[in-house]
Amino acid sequence: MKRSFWLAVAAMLALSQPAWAQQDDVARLRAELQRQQEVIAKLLERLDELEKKQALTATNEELKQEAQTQQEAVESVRETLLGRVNLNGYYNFRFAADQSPEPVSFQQHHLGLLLSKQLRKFSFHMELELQNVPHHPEIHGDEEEGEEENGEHPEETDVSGEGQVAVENAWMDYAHNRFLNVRVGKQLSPQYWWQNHYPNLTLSTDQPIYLRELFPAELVGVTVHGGAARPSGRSELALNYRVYLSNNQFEGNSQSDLRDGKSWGGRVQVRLPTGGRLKRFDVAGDLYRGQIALTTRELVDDHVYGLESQIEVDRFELQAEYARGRTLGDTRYGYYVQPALRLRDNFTTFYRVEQLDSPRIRRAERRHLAGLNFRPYPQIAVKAEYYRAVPQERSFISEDEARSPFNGFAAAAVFFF
Amino acid sequence: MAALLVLPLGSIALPAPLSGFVVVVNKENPVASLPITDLQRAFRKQTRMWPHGEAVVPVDWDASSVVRQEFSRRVFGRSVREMADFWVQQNITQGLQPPSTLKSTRAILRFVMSVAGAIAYVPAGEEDETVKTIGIKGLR
Repeated sequence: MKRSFWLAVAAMLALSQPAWAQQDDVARLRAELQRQQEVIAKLLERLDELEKKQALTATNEELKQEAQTQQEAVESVRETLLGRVNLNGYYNFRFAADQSPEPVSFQQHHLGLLLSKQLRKFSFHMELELQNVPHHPEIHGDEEEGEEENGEHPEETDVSGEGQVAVENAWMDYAHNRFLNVRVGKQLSPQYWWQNHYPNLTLSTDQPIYLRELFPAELVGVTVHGGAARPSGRSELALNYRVYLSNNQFEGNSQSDLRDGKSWGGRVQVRLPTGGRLKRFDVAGDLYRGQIALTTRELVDDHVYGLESQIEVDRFELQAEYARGRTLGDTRYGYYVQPALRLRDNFTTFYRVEQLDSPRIRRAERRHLAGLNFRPYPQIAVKAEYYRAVPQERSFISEDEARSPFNGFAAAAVFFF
Repeated sequence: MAALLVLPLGSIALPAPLSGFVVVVNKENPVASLPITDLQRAFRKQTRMWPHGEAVVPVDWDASSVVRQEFSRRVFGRSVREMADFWVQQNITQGLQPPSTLKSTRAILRFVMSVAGAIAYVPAGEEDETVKTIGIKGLR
């Protein structure tokens, strides 16, 4: 009996597991339980998704309604676009300092507001420009000169600091087709720089010195314009024209011309095929025949012609304009050549050589100008330039008027909005 | 939208160059193909009307999209940034706004389907039967 008891105890010990072995089992069971719980959780998630999908399953009618709603939304966007008046503008603040008699100055140069609207073949565009400058030779130089010659004292009539508000552009355009368009109103002259003279479009802070002495800056009248083109690979051979009839010029303002005789001009631009190697190759010729009031209200004949070109190859750009005019038997001319290199998408460096030779205002000068233009965004420009002005000796400039060469610096910050 | 090219290493993924795009117009538009210069003019808003009298309504992609970058390079020969500069110039001198933008193929197809004069582009293969695909002569 005793022997049987010990045999039974031995068998139980042999069949039973130690405590550490039971702990392993518990751990295994816990892991299995956790895995099962994860599977169940995933199944529940899947079930939720399926239930949601079932709820979202739409009927054919519901889909049609949804499509109709979306179409109405698109139409609404379209109507909004067609009915919208675009409001934009730009702000230009600049600094200028040189060794000429002009004072060092901060210039609250331009604040321009642009309004435009397109309606199928019609479009309207206007620019209201607010200028508030301490002293700006581009605006007041001619007036002061005229006043002095008339025996008036410029100090008494100087409006420096008061600024001015002007409608620089206000035109309506009818685009009949590619070949024929008509524009009426106050417009910028069609030459390249005048069309693109805005501070956030030009690389330099200062405009070319010859600009205000050759073609008029603006015209008030009617322009017929259009063009024709023939595809040539990725580019085209295009011929564009502009012909205009406008008021004559009164001290840079053609709005006050009430006489029958009008001025006229034209422009032909050829866009040459680039074969994919150039980005742009434009050549243009301009002609202006009109009358201008210089220092009095009396009009005298003024004839101007010009040539220009813009070339873009990869990151290199070249702009050049030349113009020659004749008034009261005196010939004047001017030009600029401006190569530029786009170092990065937002960073351009440029050089410009320019000259003005004008007996009319007794000024002959050549300038060399080098600068940088940084555009962190397409709408913002920060630019700076250094220039050297070299007065030229001419028979129409007396020794008293002769000036020495001088250097200068100009910088500007521009925001387009 | 951008397709991903997974390198054999498996740990680096780079955006693959887009294989192409197709130009789409409304199904009612009778135009079957355009020279690339006409496509340029449409997207520069220099052409206002289709020959059949509808106003041309170009729709562009968001500036950051791969298909916009490819379209800009292949059609205009310029970067998206250069075209942004172009639109600032057009805005000031002509009062023209750039084409409105959308962010997905679905939205663009829906717009083109709904607007008679619309013209747009989508990645090749993503066009559907709601719009009409047109050929572009001179596009490489």
